[in-house]
Amino acid sequence: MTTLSQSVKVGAASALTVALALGGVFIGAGAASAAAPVSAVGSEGPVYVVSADTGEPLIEGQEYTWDDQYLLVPNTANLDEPFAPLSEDATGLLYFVSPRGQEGVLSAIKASAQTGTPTRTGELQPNLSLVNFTDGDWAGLKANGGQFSVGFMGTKNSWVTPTAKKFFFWIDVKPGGNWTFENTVPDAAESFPNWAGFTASPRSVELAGGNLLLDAGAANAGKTVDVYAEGTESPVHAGVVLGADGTAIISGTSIVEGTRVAIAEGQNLLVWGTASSVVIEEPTGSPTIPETVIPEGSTTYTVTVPALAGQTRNVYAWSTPTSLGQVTFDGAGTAAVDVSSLGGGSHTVAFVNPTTNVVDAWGTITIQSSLVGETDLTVDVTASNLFALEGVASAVDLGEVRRGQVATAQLPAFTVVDDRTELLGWNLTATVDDFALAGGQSADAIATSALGLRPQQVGTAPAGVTLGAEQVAGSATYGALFAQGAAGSSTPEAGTQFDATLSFLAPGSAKAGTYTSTLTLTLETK
Amino acid sequence: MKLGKKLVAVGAAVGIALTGIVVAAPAHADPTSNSYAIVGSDTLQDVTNALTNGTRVTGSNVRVFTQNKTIGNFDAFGSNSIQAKPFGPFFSRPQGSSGGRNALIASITGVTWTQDGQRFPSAVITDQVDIARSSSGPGSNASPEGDLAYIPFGRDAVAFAYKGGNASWANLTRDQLIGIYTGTITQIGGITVKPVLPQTGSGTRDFFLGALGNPTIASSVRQGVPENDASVLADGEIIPFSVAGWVAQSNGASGVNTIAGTTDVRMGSALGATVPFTGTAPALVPNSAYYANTQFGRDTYLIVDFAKINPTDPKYDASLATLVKPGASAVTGSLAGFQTNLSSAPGAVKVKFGFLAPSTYDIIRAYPNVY
Repeated sequence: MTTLSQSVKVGAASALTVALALGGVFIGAGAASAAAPVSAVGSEGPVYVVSADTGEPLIEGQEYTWDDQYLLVPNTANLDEPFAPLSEDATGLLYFVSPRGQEGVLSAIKASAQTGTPTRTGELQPNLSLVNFTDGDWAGLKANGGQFSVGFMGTKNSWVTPTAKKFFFWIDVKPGGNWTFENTVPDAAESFPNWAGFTASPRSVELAGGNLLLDAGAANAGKTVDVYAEGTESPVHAGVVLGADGTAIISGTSIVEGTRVAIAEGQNLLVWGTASSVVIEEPTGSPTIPETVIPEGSTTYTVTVPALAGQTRNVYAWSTPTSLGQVTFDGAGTAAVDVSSLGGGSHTVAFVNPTTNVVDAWGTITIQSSLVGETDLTVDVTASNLFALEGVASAVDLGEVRRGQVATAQLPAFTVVDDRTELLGWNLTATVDDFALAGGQSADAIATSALGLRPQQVGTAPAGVTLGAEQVAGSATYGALFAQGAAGSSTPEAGTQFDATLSFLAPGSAKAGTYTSTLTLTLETK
Repeated sequence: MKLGKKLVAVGAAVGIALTGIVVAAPAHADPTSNSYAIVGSDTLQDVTNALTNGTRVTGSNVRVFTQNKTIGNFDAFGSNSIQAKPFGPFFSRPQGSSGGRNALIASITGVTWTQDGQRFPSAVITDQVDIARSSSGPGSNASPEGDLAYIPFGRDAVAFAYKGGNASWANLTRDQLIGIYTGTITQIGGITVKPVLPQTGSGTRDFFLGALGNPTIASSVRQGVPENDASVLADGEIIPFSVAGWVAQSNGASGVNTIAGTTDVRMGSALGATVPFTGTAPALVPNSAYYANTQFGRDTYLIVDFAKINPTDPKYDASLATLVKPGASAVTGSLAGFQTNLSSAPGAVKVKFGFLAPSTYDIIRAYPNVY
């Protein structure tokens, strides 16, 4: 009878877990969905599209024909309300179809219609039906379609110079001339800021832990600013006071990653930026914390940073970015970090401000790893454990054998899995106890040299996995290498299988009886 | 295309003497039309100019287009010749309802066209005229097989303007007017009344006399003055006047206002106590009760080739059909429609020009033997 046990080394956290832990930092919420009416950057006021026949609002998203007649109104509840007047210096009223974002740019106009001088009290129910555009490439517009803005604007100098104000809505023309539309409302603060002038400054607007980090530069230190987000009518954050370095942290922002943002002092625009999530990078240079060695068997990194006394920090480890959760330093600036998810070897550990994602302190640690894994961690190993020895048979019966004869038996297949984040390599070793005679004396025992062991690969060995040398019954020596995985190699997540041929040479001097022993297979990291 | 109406009326009288000099000077021609060309009635020309060239008379910018093109509307009077379309011939300017209708027929059939009374050389004007303005219906020429379609445009009425007089002049009857123009009545309210008629060929003159039963005009009636022009009146004079014309001038809709600049002129009713309009300038509103009168109210029309608005005909032109579609709703893109619900609706412009909805929107076919 051969009793086997399993020996499993504590594995590193899986790569998948690491990725998920950091995912919350790197990935912002999705962009806000479009609502109706949409915000049109640059339109002086709301623009609604109503039927020229009935005055009833047209239906957003519904398809209309090129010939369908419609009016623009600023207020569907009162069709007799004119739009706000165009600029006082305007001498020409121009109806236009322009590429979106180029409203008011005369050279970009796709189709137009000159419509006299602007009405000083504001335009009333202008009819901008597509069939009414007489100038420009209306035929191409009808034939090819596209996404455009349709609206009216002021000009001066005999239609040569655009004036400031314009109203428009968004239209989506299908090839052939049918179209759908979206009503529009003006952008924030009556067209301030002017998003047409957007020029992003790197890292001026960042997101970290649900907070908005502003950096308007030292030149703007101490200023009280408003923060505008494109698509939102009024400032998202108002009255924000910048620090001495021109930065500020706003907790709890609704601005999401990718949103264009403007930082302005009153109507004076200071900095543009696109909200982006902070990426925490592994610190380099001189550590601020002395190197610490974590002794074998310990999973706690005790660290003291007096400057962080009483504060809470997020903890990250590298080389592969790994979140170690959050710790709070005590009054002496000491905290205990659970590093059980890290493998043996050297790691960089950083303590990061959860508000700003700034690294406040960092150092390196070395986790000493065991070379002899005698600890019998009796197989509560689950599938989630990605460094594992699985499926080892509990017993093998070698049968009966005469003195001087050899009995053989098969060790059933078992599985080694090494799919750790850090592929440090592994050894699988076999040790054997002496064969004890039941009811006999210790002197009756048969030495381990009697047990032969020929390791065998089941299926194709993964790259870097090799078998140990055969131990021949009668001259075997243990512990013997059964198999090994080189550093940098992995088994598939399903693992790789081995079995073995066991042989037993009964010594000529052996007493008759039943002998038992234990074959121990131990998997350990290199 | 738009010329001062009252000035051209004067110009017409002068022009007869000058045609021999200016006939070879087409440099004075109107611009050509980008699409359809409209000619004919003086009564409808101002409101049609407003609709085709753009107007703010309602407070909204109103202009009727056809398929991304502007429309050419030519006045009844002005230079002797017009060139209606690019590269087209110069031809006699069609004058008035009948002139417009006949030019349309010439455009359809290719027969040589010339305007009566003009010495401008005759011309073939095939496809040069698309729509004729007409202040009157086809009368006895109506026919179910007609080649022309009379499309209701709006309703006008005729009353009279007077200068001086007294309160009793404001409300006359048809019989009183007959008496005035036949010479049997010389005083109203104790004040001598002096009748005047517009020039021969005036639609307003013809309609007014028709409403009176075409009586024999007294020799004392002063004749030959421009129609719908209050400035021609001397003290104590009375003249038939388009109510629409009066309203349009008073409201500032027309380019020329002969009323505001003339002292002591008023419009009187030919229907006794039924006033032609209500309100005060510049917000006069036509009185539908007056316009509804069968003797002094009249439907006006746009005339087109029926085949071009008949979907089953090979000559069918969907754009033209849209442009002259009659009705009171869903006719924003139509010159003929009478939609008035919005300031931006063409019908609202017509009201400002003194027109009311026609008595019917049914198209009248007429002239069965044009081709």
